[in-house]
Amino acid sequence: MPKVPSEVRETWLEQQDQPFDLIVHVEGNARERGDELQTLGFQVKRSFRLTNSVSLRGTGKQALQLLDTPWVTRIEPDRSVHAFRR
Amino acid sequence: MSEDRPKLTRGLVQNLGHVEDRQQQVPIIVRYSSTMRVMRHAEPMRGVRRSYDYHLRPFAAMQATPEAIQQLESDPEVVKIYEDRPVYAILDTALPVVQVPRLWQEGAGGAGVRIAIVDTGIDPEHPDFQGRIGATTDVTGEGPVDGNGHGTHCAGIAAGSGIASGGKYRGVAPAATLYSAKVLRSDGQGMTSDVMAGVEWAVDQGVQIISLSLGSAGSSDGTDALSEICDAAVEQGIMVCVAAGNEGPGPYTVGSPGAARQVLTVGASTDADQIASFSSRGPTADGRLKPDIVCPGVNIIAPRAQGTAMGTVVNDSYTAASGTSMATPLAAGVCALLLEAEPQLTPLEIKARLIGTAVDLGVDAYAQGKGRVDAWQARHTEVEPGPTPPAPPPPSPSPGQGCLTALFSLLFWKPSH
Repeated sequence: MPKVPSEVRETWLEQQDQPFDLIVHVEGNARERGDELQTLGFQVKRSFRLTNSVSLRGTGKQALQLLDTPWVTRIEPDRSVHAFRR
Repeated sequence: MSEDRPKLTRGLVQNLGHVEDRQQQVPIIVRYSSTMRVMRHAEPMRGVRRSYDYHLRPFAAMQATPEAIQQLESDPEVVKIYEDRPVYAILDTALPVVQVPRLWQEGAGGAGVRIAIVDTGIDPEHPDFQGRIGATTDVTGEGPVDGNGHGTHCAGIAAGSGIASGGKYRGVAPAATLYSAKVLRSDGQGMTSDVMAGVEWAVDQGVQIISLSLGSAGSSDGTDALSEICDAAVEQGIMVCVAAGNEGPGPYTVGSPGAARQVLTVGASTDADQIASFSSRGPTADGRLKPDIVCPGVNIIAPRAQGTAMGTVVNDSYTAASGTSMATPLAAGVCALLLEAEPQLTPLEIKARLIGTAVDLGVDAYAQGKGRVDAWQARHTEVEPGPTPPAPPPPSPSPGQGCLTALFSLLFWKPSH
C-alpha cells in the first residue's frame, strides 16, 4: 500500500524546495512522533491523539524522506476547508 | 382532517392517540354552526371545562376529555374540532416544518446539553447567547471574535434564545450550552488540521454534540484525516452532525467530512419540503448513501454577529442565510432535544431515531437520504439502531484504485506558500 499517490510523490520530486502542508498518519504516540518530526526539521503544528496523526509543514525533499520512515503509515495534504454557506 | 373522524383535525386525532389517562382533558377549539349554537351549548357538560366563547365567529375554547370530545363530535351543531396549540414565536418558518415547536410544547429546550459549534466563532455579546457560552477556543490565530458571522448564525440556529427578537428567531435548543471552536478565519476559510484541532478540543471539553457546517471541495470516500477524526469523536460517544455541502445538484458531491461513516450528514431542504438545488448529493466516492437526512436550510433567519454582513441582513441582530451550513445546526439542535430527554442515547441510537422517523419526501435517496427530519417523531419513536458502520477500508490513494478523494486531492494539490 503506497503512503501517497504516485502523482503526489512526483510533485514532491519536482518541487523539492517548495513547502507543503501535510497531515502525517503515524504508528505509536502521535505527540512523541511529532517531537521526532520536529527534530527532523519539519515545522510541526499539532498532534492529534484521536487519529494518531501530526499536521506539519515541510519541503518536498523532506516529505520524500517520510516515505522511507517506517512509522509513517500515510500522508495526505492538509487541504483547505470552507464554510458551507451559499 | 381525519378520515375516520372527519370533524377532528389530524393534529387532534394524533394528540388523542397519545392520551393514556381517559380523564385527561385536552385543549380544543370547537366550531359550531352558528353563534347562537355556541351560546346554547354553553351549559355545563361532563368532562368539559369551558374557557372562552368567541363572538366574532362561532367558536368556543375548552378543555375536554377524549370521551367528551366524542360526544361533541356526534353533536350535529358541532362543525369542527381543532387542537388548541400553544403559540410560540419561532425561528423563521423552518422549525415548525421539523415539528420542533411540538417538543417545546412538552417542555423541551436542550437544558444541560453541551453543543460545540466548530466554525468561525460565536459573538459572545449577542443577547441570544447570554450566559450560555461554556467555553471558547481559537485555533486560527485571529482571536476569538467572529469576524465572518457564519458561526454565530449556526450557533443561533442550534441554540439561540431569540431574546433580541422577542422570541421570534428562537433556535431549536434555546436552553443548551454552547462551546465555540473557531477554526475558520474571517474569510470563512481554514485548514483541515485546524478543524481537526477544533473537533479534538470539543471532545476534551466533554460536549455531547458537535456541529460542523464546513468541509472541503470534491467527492470523498470518508478515509481522510478529518473524516477519521469525526468518526473517532462518534466512537467517544459524541453526536457529530456534518453538512453535506453546497455542491449539488450533481451526484458525487459530498466531500469531507460529510462522507465520514458514523456522522449524521445533513442536506438542505426548503420549508416547502423541496430539496435545495445546491444541497450536495451522494453517493460518496466509494458508493455509500449520503446525506443521511435533510433539514430546512433555505433563508434561515438567525443571529448576526456584530460588525458582520453575512447573508441578507434583517436588522442589527439577525441575518438570513442559506446552505447545508444552516440545516446542520438545526439537526444538532434536534439532537440536543433528544439528549435532554434521554441522556443515555448513543450517537448511533440518535442517528437511528432521526433516520428511522424521517419523512420521505419522495425524491432520490442520494438527495434526501432517508428524508426530512421530524423531531417530534424522533423523540417519541423507539428505533432499533442498525449495525455499526464497518470500519473504512485502508485508504487507497491511487486514483487508479477508484478513490476519487485522491483524484480531487491531486486536483487541489498546491505547494504551500
